[in-house]
Formats: sequence, structure tokens, C-alpha cells
Amino acid sequence: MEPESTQTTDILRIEGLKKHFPIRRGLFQRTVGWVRAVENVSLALAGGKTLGLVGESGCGKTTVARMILNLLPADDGRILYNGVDICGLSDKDMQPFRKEIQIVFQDPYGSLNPRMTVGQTLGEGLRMAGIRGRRPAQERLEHLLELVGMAPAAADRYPHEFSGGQRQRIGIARALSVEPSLVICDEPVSALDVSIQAQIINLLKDLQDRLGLSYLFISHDLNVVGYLCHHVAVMYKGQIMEYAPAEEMFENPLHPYTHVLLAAVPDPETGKKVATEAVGGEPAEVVAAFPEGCRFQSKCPERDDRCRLFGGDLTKAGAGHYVRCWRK
Amino acid sequence: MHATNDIVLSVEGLKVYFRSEDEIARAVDGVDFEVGRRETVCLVGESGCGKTVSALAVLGLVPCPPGEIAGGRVLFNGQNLLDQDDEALQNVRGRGIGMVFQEPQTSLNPVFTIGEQIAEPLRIHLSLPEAEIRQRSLQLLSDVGIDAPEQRLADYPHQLSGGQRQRVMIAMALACGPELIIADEPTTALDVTVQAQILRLINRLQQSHGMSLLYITHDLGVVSQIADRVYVMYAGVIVETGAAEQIFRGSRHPYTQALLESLPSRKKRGRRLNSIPGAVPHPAYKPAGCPFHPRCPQAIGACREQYPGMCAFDDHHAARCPVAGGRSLTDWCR
Amino acid sequence: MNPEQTAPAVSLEEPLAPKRTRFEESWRLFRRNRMALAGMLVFAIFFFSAVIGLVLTSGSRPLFDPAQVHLPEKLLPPLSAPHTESLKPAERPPLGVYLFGTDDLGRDVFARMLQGAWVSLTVGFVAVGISVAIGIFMGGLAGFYGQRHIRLEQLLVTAALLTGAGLLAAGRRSWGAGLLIIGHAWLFWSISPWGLRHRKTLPAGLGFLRKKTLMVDTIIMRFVDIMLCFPSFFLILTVVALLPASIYNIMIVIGLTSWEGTARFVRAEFLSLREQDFVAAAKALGVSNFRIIFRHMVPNAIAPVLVSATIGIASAILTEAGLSFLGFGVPPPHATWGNILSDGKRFIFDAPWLTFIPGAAILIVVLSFNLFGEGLRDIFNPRLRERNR
Repeated sequence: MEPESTQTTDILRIEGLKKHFPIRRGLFQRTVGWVRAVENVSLALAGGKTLGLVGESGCGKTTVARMILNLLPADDGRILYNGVDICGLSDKDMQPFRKEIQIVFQDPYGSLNPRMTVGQTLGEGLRMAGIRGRRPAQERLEHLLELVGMAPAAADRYPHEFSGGQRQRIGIARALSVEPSLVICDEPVSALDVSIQAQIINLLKDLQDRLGLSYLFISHDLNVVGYLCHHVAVMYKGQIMEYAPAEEMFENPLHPYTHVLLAAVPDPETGKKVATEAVGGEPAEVVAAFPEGCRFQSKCPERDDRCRLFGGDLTKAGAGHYVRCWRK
Repeated sequence: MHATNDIVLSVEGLKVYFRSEDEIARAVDGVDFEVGRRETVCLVGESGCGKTVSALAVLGLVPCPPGEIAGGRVLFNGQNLLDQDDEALQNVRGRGIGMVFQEPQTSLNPVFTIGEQIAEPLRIHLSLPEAEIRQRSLQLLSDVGIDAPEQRLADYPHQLSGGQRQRVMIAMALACGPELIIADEPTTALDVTVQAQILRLINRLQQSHGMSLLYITHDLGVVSQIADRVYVMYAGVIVETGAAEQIFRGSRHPYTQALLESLPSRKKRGRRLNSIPGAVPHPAYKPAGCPFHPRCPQAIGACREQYPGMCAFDDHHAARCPVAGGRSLTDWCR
Repeated sequence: MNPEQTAPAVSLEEPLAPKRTRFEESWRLFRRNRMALAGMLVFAIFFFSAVIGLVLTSGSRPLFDPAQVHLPEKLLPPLSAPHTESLKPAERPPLGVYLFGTDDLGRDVFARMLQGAWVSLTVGFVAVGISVAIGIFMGGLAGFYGQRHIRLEQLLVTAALLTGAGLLAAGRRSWGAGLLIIGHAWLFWSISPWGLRHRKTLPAGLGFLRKKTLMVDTIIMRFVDIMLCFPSFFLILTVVALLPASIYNIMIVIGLTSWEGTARFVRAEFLSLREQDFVAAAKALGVSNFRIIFRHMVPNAIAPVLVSATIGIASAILTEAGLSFLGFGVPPPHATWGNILSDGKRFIFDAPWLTFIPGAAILIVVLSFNLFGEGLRDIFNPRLRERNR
């Protein structure tokens, strides 16, 4: 079951997205198994809102982002952008959508070309947006820089002359250079210092208000997600485990994994001490042995033998609240 | 809290500078902190504030051609570690003081098995017979919560997950029963659930082994969970110190306050986050007077001119802000 | 509290340290390496003397005449005065003495050295230019498209075109022309609108043509391996012996046989660059593959290429000298350093300067290039590159 749309026009709907990577061994690279990186993922994002995609490393959230951008071909599923299925389009057919969907990366140091000035990097985007002529390009460039809080003089500098937070602003400017409607933010503040994080989060929020952007906000930091997002989806090992409006998710989390995540997040305001319950050992190979079972069994405090056979589909558990656990 | 006369590590006036052709980066510029017995002390700050360099300086691990110890003392069990030569320091490293680093990928040698790497400190410091080394290694691995330790001894680092590698690092740091463990951002590169497990583990081990812990991090959430006392660093100096309660409930220094206010949380939804304008100063180009004054909402004229001294608030709570402390201009630098 | 402005341009303007371009940074690092600096200076001297030498020794009435034969002047040691009796005023050496002496035909060795310098310079740069161009192209293809498979049809078309061209060149006109026509026809059909529309639906029997064969990376890298198996000097020798002797043939042949190292470097850099976020960002913007490769990735991959290019120049100069020494180089009377060495070998005891002077010149130039290249390699060392983080 896919989440119902919360509004009449969802800017992005993902249905049944799947990506399996082959495991190859031996001299002839025979395929001996599959890494099921993304399995039956369904999401919905309303226009002008922020959907948080939360999960730990290896859960597949970055893979989902790359498939939305068509940087990685999906094995199955539909990606509906304003109702149009962009999954599996050829490069040529994808071109018009590239102006609509953009991405901001996590690593401020690797996401800018060290041999191009800021002006040149942003210029590539302006070129793709069809801005020709020196004067219009110059004006637009200055406008972009100002939009993200950078001085126009930054255009002649190279990335290595800027701090992490400044580089992230430049990355945001690059994404905005083609005037997208949907911006995928792949852990945009995880690599930044606390005080800079707040600046960038404020900036993202301002831009959303000013330009009506929709965000798919990928993060492992539940505090940031709780602050910014309207809806939250929790992902674990390639599957969406829970999906709900943000308030609801934090007030009334249903899936055991969501509980684990929330318990693990430190909260300086309450000074909550480290949780005493045992979460379990390191990842076991159960997932590979029982492909139909729930992927969270190896660590779930509420598991029993039935979980080996059936993980459950995303079922509705409240207004706009979906959870993948047959117990709920 | 600790008894003030039972101090394991005391750092006084530590200064570490890095010289290059045309600039001197004052990474650590006069820092005092101490760790008591069985105590967890957190050194908190953003990147570039000098906390890692301070920790490295304690063990003499700062590379000394570009870097130099420009002043201060590091007292460990009465000895000034900065005066010791390499050989004497070797005895302290691993034995009296254990260290856990940030990146589990790069801190373990990829060409040696786990067993060989854990055995190394045992062999060097304790000179145990081989049979006992194996026994000890197995015990250490199970202490840090690694299952099937016999198998793990023969594994190579790349066969373990990030969390497991960090556990191995902790086991190595603990191997010779040190009095103090210095942990430099050990959970930053790990997932949040794994981080919770590692923090629990460290807590448990601290209780059972009676060690002191100097924990360096930028993550205030982690600090709130484990710290007894906290030192907040900014641009190479300590700007506030106190018990965890005091720092989180009633911080005095504008930087600490701003930092706490800029943390996002769902309770702040709808409100703008109070961020700190500007950026951390480059260690070679620090402003005159208080290093925080260009970004400080409470800065006054004197902040630009005179370097402020620490002002005491309650016992053990002090902040380097004479404005907050209501000091007069004559008392500014005390 | 200070309310945050949305565009606090002033406070965000200046980055952390005073402005220093990458070039200035690199220059400062380079300056510290004395040997590399010396190497660069020597190269500069060599460069200027070659260029000036070309001017001074060419034309119908050159200032320094390398071809002027005067048997009475033969085998004079360096710095010896000419026998003024037998020389017309115009034929006397401009400096008053024979700076490097004369050879067995009475020619001014200094003039010949100047002329030879130009040959060495040209051979070095052009040969390396060709090899770098080929290397970047092959390495870039292998690095960027490496994981793609060549389909059987593409393989057949390429084979048809190559064999067709070969046959045509070898004289079998009809077969050659036939294959070429078939190959071109297939190419045009696949690019044409009619062909594109019908691409996906081949008749059932011909389905096997779509089958994937080798990966691009495999093909190119094994070709590189094959090329590396040939002892290149002998390969060059063979080709030069078969072709008419000229400076251009030599340059092209050296260039065609020394691109493998560059290809490997470029491929390695591309493999790691491909995974970088800024390349993904460019793709997400819709930038064409061609532009991504040449505008975004190649400038980042240049560093190891530059290093191997400078060392390659030294190697090309040595190769040319070797060829000339063996008699396969530029034909006389044009002077090259190898020629002078070769001519001098018969007189090694009577006129050792004929051997030492060109030998020393070759040594100094090659050494200086090697040092310069190593200096460059040190600057481009990523550990130093990252210092400004």
C-alpha cells in the first residue's frame, strides 16, 4: 500500500521502488546473490513541504535519491513527478526534468569542483537553465549568491578558499541555479559544525518559504528532521518501516525501529541519560537467510518466530500514519 | 563529583602553536583543565577549536616540526609529561593513559589481525607470556561486547563493521588497565544506534574498571548523556567550565548559550533557530581581545581590547566572560 | 539577540585566509625544492637557447653557420682561434673563437649544438604532446565509459572499417572499399532518424547482434598492455627504418608509442573522480558527458599527466639522440645532438670534445627535466594539496 496523497497534487510520489545490486564472485564474475538495497519503497511529498527520510548508514536512502535523479537506474517501480513517471527515462527524455529536480550533497569538500571557480561552477547551472549572454548571466549569478548569503566577490574564488558552511551555501546556490521545484537534500548539514548547521537550516527554511521549494530531506539526525520536516519516513535496510506526519511520528511512534532510533537520540535539553535497554548485537546474516522475513528481526526487541516469515506491508495505523509491522 | 585532591590529569596553561612560512597558528592558546579519578570530563567545541590538539599534546603526539609546545604543563600522577622524553612517554602511552581515536577505519592497521593488534600493548607494556596474552585478549573482546571473540581474533579490520572496530579500539585502549582514557570523538563516524551502544559500553567499563575518561566531542547531545564536568572550548581557549547540569541548565558564556540555542529540535518547530553569525576564526588570525567578540551579541568595547579572564559563578562553574560576570574594567583580565 | 539577516553579505564575504590562488600556493611549495628549481632554470635556459639558436642558425646567411665546411679548420679544440688566413671575413666565427671547437669537417660545433637544440626541443615537446593527447583520450574513455559493454554490432562495424582501411592501403581496392562502404552504411543507418526509431526492434534472427561483449575498459587496457609488451625503442627503430627519414616521422612515431603511461594515470584519476559528488552534481544538472569529461574531470586529472609529461620530454630527447646516434634520425647535414655524438665516436681520443659536449648537454637537459618533474610531483601530492582545509 502506498501512502495516500495528503494534497491533490503531490509533487513527488514513489511507488514500489526497487534496486538490487548483484554480488559477483569468481573469475567470470558470476552473480551469486543480490544486495537488496531498496525494496518496495513508497513515498509521497506534497508541494512546498519537506519530507524527511531517516535512516542509518546503509539503509538505502542515498540510493533512493540517486534513482529519483536518474543517476542510477531503478530495477522496478514508479517515480511520479507531478504525475509523470520519470523512472527509467533515457538521458534525453530526462533533460527537461533535470531543471526541476536538484540535489544538495552532504560533503561540502567533495561536492564542488576544485578546479573551477564558484562563478564557473554556478555558470554551468546557468548554462543549463538557458541563460545566455554575459550581462544576464552575471546578474543572475549575483542574485543567486545573494540568495544564499554569499558576497558577489565569491564568484572569482576557488572552493578551497571557503569554509565548510560557505561551500554548502555554494552547493545550494548551484542547485538553485536551474530554478528547481524539488530539491533533494542528502544530509546537507551532517558534516557541519553545530553553529553553522543552524545557519544552513535557517537558510533552507527561508528558501522554502521564499521560493516555494519542496524538499526531500535525507538525514540520520532526528533532531534536525523533527525541526524541519512536515512528514517523516523511517527507512531500515532498504524498506520504509514507518511513515507519518512529523508531529505524529515523534508523539506516537509505532515501529520498534523508530522506538530504537528515538531512544538513541541524545537530547541536551532533557539531559536524558543513555538508555539502559539492550539493543542487540551487530548485524547478523538473518536477513539473507530469510528473505521474506522482517529485516529488523536481528535487532528487534519485540520479535518472535513469526517475524522470520512475514515482515508485513505498510499498513495504515492512523491518519496519514503507516507502519510496516504485522503486530501493529 | 570528585574530591579535589584526587586528580589524575592536570593540564595548566597549555599552548600549542603551528608555524608555517608566514603565519603562526595558535591552535591551543593557554588551556587549563583537569580530570579527577573515576570522573568523565568532556572537552566540547566545534572544529578548529583546538580540542583534538590538546588531547594529542597530552600524550606528546603532536607532530613537532610544524607544531611546537609553546608553554604549559601536563601533570599526570605528579609528572610533567611535556618534560619527558620519548622513551618515558612510551611507558605512559597505552599503560597509564589509553587513547581511542575517531576513525575506526584508519586507526586499525589493515594488514594485521585483530588478535595481533590487541596483543601489542599487552606485549609491550606488560610482558605477559603468550598463553596469557591470548586469554587476556579474549577477555577484553568479550568485555567490550564483541561476540564470538575467538573467531574475531583472527579477523582483519576490514571484516568488521564500524561499531565493532571501535569496540576493538576501546579494548586496545583498556588492555593494560590505564587510569585515564582519552577518547577523541570515538562515535562521530558511527550510526546513532551504534553510538548509543558504544556510549553505554564506555559507561559500563568506566564503572567496572574505575577509570577516568576525557571525552572530546562536538556533539552536545553526547555530552549531556555522559559528562560529569564539561569544558567548552572556542578558538583555542576554554570559555566555560562547570558540571554538566550547570552548563546545560544555566550556561553563562554567550558562546555556550548560543550553541545550545542553535541546536535544532522538534520543540523549536516553527521558530527560527538562533544561529551564530560569522565563522570560527582561523587560528592564525584571531581577533584581539576576546576571541568570540566579533560574533557575540553581548560584546562591549572592552571585549575588543582586553583578553578576558575567567569569572567564577558557582563552585566549579566559571566562564571567560567579564560581561556576564559583571566585572569592572580594572578586573577584566584576572 | 542579534537577528540573523538573510543576506549578511559582509560577514560572509571573506574566507578564512588571505587570498592566494592555487598557482601561488603551488609556486611557494615548488620554490622550496632547490633541485626542482634548478631543474626548471636549466630548462628555461635550454628553451631560450634552442629558440634563439634556431634564429641564429637558419636562413641562407646565418650568424652561426652549422653547415659551413672548412677542412683546414677541422678538429680544433674548444676556445681555439680560427686560422684566419684561410677564412673570408664573413666566414669567421662571430665570437672570435670556436666556442666548442670544430668537428672533422671543420664545422663549428657550437653552431651545430644550437641547431641540434632546436631539434631536441621540438622532438621532445611534439612527441610528448601527441602521446599526452592520445593518453588522455584513451585513459578518459576507459575511466569514464569503462563499465559499458561493446555490443557485437559495434565491434563488427569497427572491425569492418579498420580492415577496410587496411586493405585499401595495402592495395586491395575492391575488398577494402567494399568493407568501408558497409561499415559506413551501418553507422549512418544507426544515426539516422529511421534507424533510431527502429533501434529497439531488430528482426528476430539478428538479435544476437545486440549481445554484449567485452567492456570498454577491458579492451582499452589490454590494448595498453599489448603496446607495453613491445620494446618501444626497437619498435621505433623499425618504423623509422621503414619510413622516409624525417624529423616529423620521428616525432609522430615516438608519440604513438609512448602514451600508455599517461593513459593509465588518467584512467586511475578518472575512476576516482567519477565517484566524486561534483561529477554527480554536473550530471544532475544535465551537463553532457562530453562536457563533463573535458571541462569538469580532465582539469582535475592533469596533475599526474604533467609530471609524466615532463619526464616524457626527457625520455623523448634521449630516444631521439639514440636514433640519431644509430643513424636513423634526422638526415644530415641537419645537426642533432645525436648526430654530433655519432660523428664524434671515431675521434674519441683525438677530439674528445665531440663526444663530451653533446653528451654533457643531453645529460644536463634530461636531468633537469627529471628534477623538474619530480618537483611537480611533490607539489601535486594530495597530502600537501589538502593543507588548506
